[in-house]
Amino acid sequence: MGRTEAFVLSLGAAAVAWSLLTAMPQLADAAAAHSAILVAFVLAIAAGELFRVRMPSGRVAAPVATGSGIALAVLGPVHGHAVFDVPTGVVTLVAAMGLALAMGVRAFLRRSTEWYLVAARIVGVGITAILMRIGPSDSQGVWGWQLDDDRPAWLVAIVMMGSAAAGLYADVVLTGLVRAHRKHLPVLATWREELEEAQALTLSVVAAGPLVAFLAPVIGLVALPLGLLPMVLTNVAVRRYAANRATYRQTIAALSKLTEVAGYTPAGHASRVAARSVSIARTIGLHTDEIQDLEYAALLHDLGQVGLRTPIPDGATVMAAPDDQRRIANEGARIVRRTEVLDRVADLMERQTTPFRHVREWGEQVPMASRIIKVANAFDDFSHGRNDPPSVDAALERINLGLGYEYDPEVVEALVRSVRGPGRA
Amino acid sequence: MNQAADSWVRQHGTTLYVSGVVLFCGLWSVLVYRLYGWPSDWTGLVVLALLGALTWWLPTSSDGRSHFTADNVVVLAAIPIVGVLGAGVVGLAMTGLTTRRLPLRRRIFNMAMHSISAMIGGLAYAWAGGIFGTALAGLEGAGELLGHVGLPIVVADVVNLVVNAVLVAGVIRISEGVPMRLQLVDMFTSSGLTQFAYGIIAFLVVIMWIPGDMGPVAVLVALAPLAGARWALMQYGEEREARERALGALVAALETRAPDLEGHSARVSSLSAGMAQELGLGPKDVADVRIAGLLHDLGRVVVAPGSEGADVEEGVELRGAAMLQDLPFLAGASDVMQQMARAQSDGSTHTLADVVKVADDYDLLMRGDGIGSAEALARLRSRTPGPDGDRVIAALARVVRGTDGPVGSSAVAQS
Repeated sequence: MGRTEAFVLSLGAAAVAWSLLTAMPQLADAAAAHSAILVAFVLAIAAGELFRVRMPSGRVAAPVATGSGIALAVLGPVHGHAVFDVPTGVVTLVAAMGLALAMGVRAFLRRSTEWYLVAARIVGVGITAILMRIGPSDSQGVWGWQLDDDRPAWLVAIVMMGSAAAGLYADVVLTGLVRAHRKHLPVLATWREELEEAQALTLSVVAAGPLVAFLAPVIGLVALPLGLLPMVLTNVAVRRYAANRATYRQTIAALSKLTEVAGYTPAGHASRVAARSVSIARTIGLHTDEIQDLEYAALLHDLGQVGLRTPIPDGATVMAAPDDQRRIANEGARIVRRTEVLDRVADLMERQTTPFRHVREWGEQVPMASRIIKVANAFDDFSHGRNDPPSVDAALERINLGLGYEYDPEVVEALVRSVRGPGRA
Repeated sequence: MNQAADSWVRQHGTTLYVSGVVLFCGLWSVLVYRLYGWPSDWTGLVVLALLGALTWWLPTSSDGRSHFTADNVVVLAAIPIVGVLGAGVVGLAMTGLTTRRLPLRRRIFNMAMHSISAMIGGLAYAWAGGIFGTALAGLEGAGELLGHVGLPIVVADVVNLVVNAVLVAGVIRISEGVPMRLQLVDMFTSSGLTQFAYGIIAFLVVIMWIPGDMGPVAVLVALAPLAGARWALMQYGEEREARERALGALVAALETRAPDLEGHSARVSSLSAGMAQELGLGPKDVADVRIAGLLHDLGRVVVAPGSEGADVEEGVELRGAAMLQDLPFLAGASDVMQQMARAQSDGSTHTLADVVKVADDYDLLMRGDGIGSAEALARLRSRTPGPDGDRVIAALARVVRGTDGPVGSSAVAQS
């Protein structure tokens, strides 16, 4: 476990400990007065946590669990029940119980548990509950505005959503921190990636809590399943989207295999170059969209070879004459342009053969992604796809011979870090 | 004579159909006015129409088959809030106010269609025990609200979908000749969960608007949580289309290796899909033969240079199918290609494989041998005996007869 993960876990534990200390006197009363509400929310949070979704960026989200936690933090009057007037500590403890229950079930089912996600969610719900209970309205804070008929509904909705957003962003920041540390990625780039990807999802989750809170005074506890329905739909839609992204990638991968199956390039070359390119791009801190285009371009970088009458020995374009390299790249780009949706990818493929000296001496515009493919391709060609130390050393030595002339030094440095691991460049 | 009649129907039928729908809309409005009178809440009506129009301004999210548009929620919520005639006016106004560029005839049809389906949905709501307007304020608790608003809205939702689907399938039948049954099956099977969700969200809007006393803010509070689902569905739709288009690159790679096949794959794909529709096959089968037609020669590209002679022995279709095996969404097309290979080796028959094979042979006869359509069909009849063969050739003949100009130029775009 890394230091960052330990830090996030400690924050979660501290939130639970603080809640126990501050809410202990009211806990028994709250349990007696709101038992049905508490049980319903524990179950909703636990169920939501059992159905996590992995976003294409790798971020793990649980919209139903998070939406339930936020709903609990902002909940006020409930038709047929006493007003849910409980301190922050009770809210945090109920969320923690739901999440812990889900973790138990996940462990029993042998699914991944990842406690840091739980810790971040507890902290997020706690922040929302605190923000709702401070501010100008006697001792009840802005939470009390729900009981005041003179407060306009839109204002109450905005306050609820603001508190929910603060808690949710805290959750995203903490989980992003751990993910960046685990994957050896730049923290800022990881946060940016997660926040951009999660914008619509964040709005959705932020609004789910207030929806439940507004429905509850009218329809009672049925508000919970009804108000969470949009979250369930979100969950289903995000799963389909993530699965579709995977099949789209498989389609590109199938296309990239044409040259391998036909014997133009060695088996696995395209996927190795793609994996290495993505690793270098993440080390450099490229944007998510650029990384996706880069991955596709790297998978397809040798596609133009299908037009060759005579295959290049071992398919190693790095050994081919510069004119032949350009012709292959242009042919591949032409094929890819036929799709009409991969033009950016085709551009990257076209520029992959340009030597770095054109950038340095003539100021030619060559996208960073193209420079990365050039280096990753050369590394795989020179190492013959092997990753034993002598092969890797030999490949890096050959690349170093062309440093600054053929290859971009920044990319080569990132390659070395990607091959040898951080801190050993 | 038949061709002249077909041509007349295609030319004037759509205009007559749209005029009929508009007339029907007017008659329904009079009937609903007689039954329920004017809408009671004109302010709510204007707000809902404007909000509905705003949802039209948003880009439509789609997974290729089902669409997610919040306007359905607004129309359904309008039924209890502003009454049956009010809901019809909301449907009419919000469709009319859309800034999406539509030909006038289509805009008028959409307005009338949404208005009719909203009013008929409203009648179904009343029939199912639904309560309207200020009377809703007296309802309390889950039981009353679900019984007098929730359940009736779901009934209205289903009726709304059916009316919508029938009217749309009718216009497509007349303008494009696609059988109504196919259209209806496609629409009903693709909008199940989404359509049900519209009803539930509309119910939430209604109970927050009147019993919850929130007014129009209720629409925003209920729709905001759908942003995530909508975003994911949009991403899904975009990437799904991109994925389908990426298949075009496989064809481009094939044509790079075999330039004499330029355009052949697209034509076979288009013919195959048309024949499958003529044979009354379901949407999935049509999609499978369309892709199988597009990629049936893929095996030719996965042969090392100089080894092309081995094509016939190993089976082009089998090699192509093997390439697609790792792609779950192409499993159906891969199966069709395998059936084609089996049919070649053991003479077995499979309708889907026969469709692609006949389309392939027809295009090769027309383009390669340079013979006319009638002669190509006659030769295929002699090559494909039996009742199944006759059905497939008859479908091909109908597709060829109904196609103006060369077949296939739009195949990839359609796929």
